[in-house]
Amino acid sequence: MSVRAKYHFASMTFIAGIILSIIGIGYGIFVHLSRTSDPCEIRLTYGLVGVGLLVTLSGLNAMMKSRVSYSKYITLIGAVVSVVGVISFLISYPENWMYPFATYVIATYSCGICILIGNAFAKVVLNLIEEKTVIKEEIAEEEIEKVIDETMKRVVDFSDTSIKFKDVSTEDFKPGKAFFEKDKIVKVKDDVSEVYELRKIKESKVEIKDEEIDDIANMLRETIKKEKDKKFWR
Amino acid sequence: MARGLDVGTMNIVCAEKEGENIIFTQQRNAFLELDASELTKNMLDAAKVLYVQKDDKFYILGDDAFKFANVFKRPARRPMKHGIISPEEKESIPMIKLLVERLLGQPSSYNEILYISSPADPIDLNVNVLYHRKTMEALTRRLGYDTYVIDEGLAVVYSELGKYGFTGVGISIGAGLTNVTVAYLATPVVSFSIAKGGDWIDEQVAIATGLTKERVTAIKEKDFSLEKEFEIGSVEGALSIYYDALVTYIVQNLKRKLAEVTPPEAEFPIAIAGGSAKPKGFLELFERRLS
Repeated sequence: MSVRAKYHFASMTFIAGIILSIIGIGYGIFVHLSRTSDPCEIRLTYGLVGVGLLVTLSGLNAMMKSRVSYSKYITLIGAVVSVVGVISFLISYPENWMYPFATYVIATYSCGICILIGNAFAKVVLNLIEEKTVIKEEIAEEEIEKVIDETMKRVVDFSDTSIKFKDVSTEDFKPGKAFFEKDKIVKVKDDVSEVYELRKIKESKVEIKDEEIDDIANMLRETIKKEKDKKFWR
Repeated sequence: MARGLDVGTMNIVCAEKEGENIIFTQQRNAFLELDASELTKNMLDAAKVLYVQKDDKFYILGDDAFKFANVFKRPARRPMKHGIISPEEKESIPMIKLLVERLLGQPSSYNEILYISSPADPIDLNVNVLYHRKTMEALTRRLGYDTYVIDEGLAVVYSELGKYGFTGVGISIGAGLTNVTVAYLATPVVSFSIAKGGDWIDEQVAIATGLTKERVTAIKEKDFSLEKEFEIGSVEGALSIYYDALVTYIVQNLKRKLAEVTPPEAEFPIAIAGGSAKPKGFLELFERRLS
């Protein structure tokens, strides 16, 4: 059976289980099921709900991706144990439905259902762990690169600027006549007024009224804050 | 008074304030090697060519190196590549030192402040700019300057975005790299560079048309305009094609990187500078690709 066919079969089983359970509950409501109801009505209602629940859980288990090979056997064991519980109930009710046999039947059915629920839970957890491991590995490389980059940048920023170097010798190069002549220069009239603005900003004395700039500034401030938060939590 | 120095892949530019004027002195960051002889020496001196002699070689420096490269159809040697000191050129550091020394001269006062521009690490090339930054710092300190380093993109923000409270994106499209800095109230939020610039255009056009790279550079810098229509197969046509490719590449990388660091709905004023952004129509092309 192909993977797709398997998945469809499991889905149909799951839906069938839900339908059986709904029919059982609906039937119970319809016949006004109580302790004094007809034994056939009780058997049919609980039988339908009991089978519906185990079929639903079996379908659910089959739909989930198995990470361990023995998972399907656990599903099978859970389903068989539950079926034994349901059949035992159907055979023994009402004549032999008394302590301690009734307790054994309920315990058997509960045990089967617990196995099915437990198996489904284990599958979910395993799937989550495995997926996260893959993502984590992918992220890890990026994060390592980022950390290296950041560390390098810090090295650049804080590295010692007073490292002493020997001068590069250019004494072997004898300059030609034109070497000492002045280069062509370009003069541009500029009072460099932006320097005063820059000084004001650096000293935090500037007030920006332009709304558009305020919006950009607010957005950038948020970005810087987010970046700082990220670094803090790393 | 303080000075500024931009050590670029193509040009080294020094700026200093004199009264109400800013004085810019520029020199090509290139050199060309020639065999030394008395005849050549006389010729170079007569033509006032900028050169130095070492052993039996002449090294023609700066703009003259490009002119000679065009005449001799030989490639000029470049001390820098992709915005940093070229590891492929063994003479790069002495040549940069000679050019910087000549442009800057001695400091006018003790420990005169000097700001040098530095590229940011490229996002699309496995290169670290630390060595270049520290080397340039050390070279200028040895000249007697009190050197500070500033990101190229941030320098653009400081220069051009004053009326926006120094908030926005500063882009410098140079020969080796395109530098970008996003700043908020004069504080850099993120700086990065893209490992393509004018040199890439020159290389591709030279390959496509069969001309030397220096010839392509000369045509590009003469009066090339992105607003004109050119003949199919012309050098200018090839330049238009590769300019468009470069701008598209820069804008794509810019958008991708900005999306990582800024809110999606944010809008910024953008200032564009750099030698490769000089052709007429560049800004319009950039705006078209950005929208």
